[in-house]
Amino acid sequence: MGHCRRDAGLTLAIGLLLLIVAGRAAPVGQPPLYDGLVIEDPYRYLSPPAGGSGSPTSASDTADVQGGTSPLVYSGTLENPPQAQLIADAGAFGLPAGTASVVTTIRPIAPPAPVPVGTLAGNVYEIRVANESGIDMTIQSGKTVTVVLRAPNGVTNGTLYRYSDNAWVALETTNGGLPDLFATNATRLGDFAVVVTGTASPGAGGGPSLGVPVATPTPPPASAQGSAGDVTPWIVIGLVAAAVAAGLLWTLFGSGEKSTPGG
Amino acid sequence: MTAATSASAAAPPRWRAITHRAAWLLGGLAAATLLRGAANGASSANQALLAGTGFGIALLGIAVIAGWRPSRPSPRGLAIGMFGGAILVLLPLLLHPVALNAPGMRPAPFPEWATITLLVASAEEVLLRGALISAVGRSYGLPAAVVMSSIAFALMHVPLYGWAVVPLDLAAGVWLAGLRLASGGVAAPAVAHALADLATWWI
Repeated sequence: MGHCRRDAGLTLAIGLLLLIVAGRAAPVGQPPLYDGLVIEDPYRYLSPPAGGSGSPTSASDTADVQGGTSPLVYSGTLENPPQAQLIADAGAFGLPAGTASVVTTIRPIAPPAPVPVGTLAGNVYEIRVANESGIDMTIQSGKTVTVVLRAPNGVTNGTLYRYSDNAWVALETTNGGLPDLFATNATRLGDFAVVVTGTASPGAGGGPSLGVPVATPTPPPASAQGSAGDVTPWIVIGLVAAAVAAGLLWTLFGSGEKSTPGG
Repeated sequence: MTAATSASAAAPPRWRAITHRAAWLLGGLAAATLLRGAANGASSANQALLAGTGFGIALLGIAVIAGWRPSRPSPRGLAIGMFGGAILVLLPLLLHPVALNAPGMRPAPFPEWATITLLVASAEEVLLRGALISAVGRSYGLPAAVVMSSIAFALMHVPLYGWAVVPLDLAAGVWLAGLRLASGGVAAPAVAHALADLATWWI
């Protein structure tokens, strides 16, 4: 029994240590996602291709200055998952004199210029952080500001680019928690986009670098939600109910849980 | 015949049966994972819900065929599971407080999403922390069982979430295995896993 407790305690201690290390290394804002169902809204284009969805959402969030420094900031568009997000630590932005609140705006815009290489995958997003008077704020050195953009469904090999000072600049890009989410720790704000270079992934298309939203070869589903009268949810609920009922019956007629780890 | 092959030929039938059982569990898990990834496709809600349901039922079936049988969860196991789930949810929030400001994934409708999330989380625990740890632990020892089940847990999420989640899922796998060892059953890791998954609706 003592042997079992020691094994369990050791495993839990190692697990906790690994969770802390992996959690600290994870991109800021990544949810505690160990599992779950991946259900993405179809990508919404500013200029939708044939069969594509339109009307991408924007975001505008205001947070009060706390203790003389900028607060924790999260702002994201309303799609699921959001097509564009900004996540910032407290104190990430330098405050102009007299600033009382921090206003974050994210909106899809027409591409300001063609990308130098590859093709745009999805929309270009203008991301601004300003005070209540509209004065843009700059990111403080050493502070983490993460920009996350979602590419159209199926695009998994994108790179984030920022357009500022009349030029597109490639950014160090990491995975944002799902294969089609791309994140970067930004040092400046501006216009951001996902660019696919080299061999195009399924959703990126292979068109020229015209700087326009690129169509996916296979149109995204018309709706991510089950429509009224759709029988699929009932099939799902029936199957789950049958599995749960079988498990309950088995549990009722089975034996109690053993206390030995090997059991 | 070499000494090694002689030893292998003389291996007890029970040892070989348990090894075959572990291979069946891992092979079945890999096949179900790949099928789920393919079925998830463009990720419409209905596709994902059906793929998740099929995946959960397949894992339960694979575990039952391998000899796993359900048992009544003990109150102690449920309590350990609640504690383990709280750690899984709170730790990332403590490490990255900004996550509190972010909205959850919210892939509506909630009742169906929650039901199938519970099914998938429980099925994964039954197969990995239940059947696999039991099978591998008997033949190769608990450390090997914990490592193998945790690696399998991390790799099975790659088709849906990409390689970036491997470190976090590997760590979560070891933690969930610890809950299994501490409680003696799969109820604790299943409760913890379900809590962590359901929390993604809100955070």
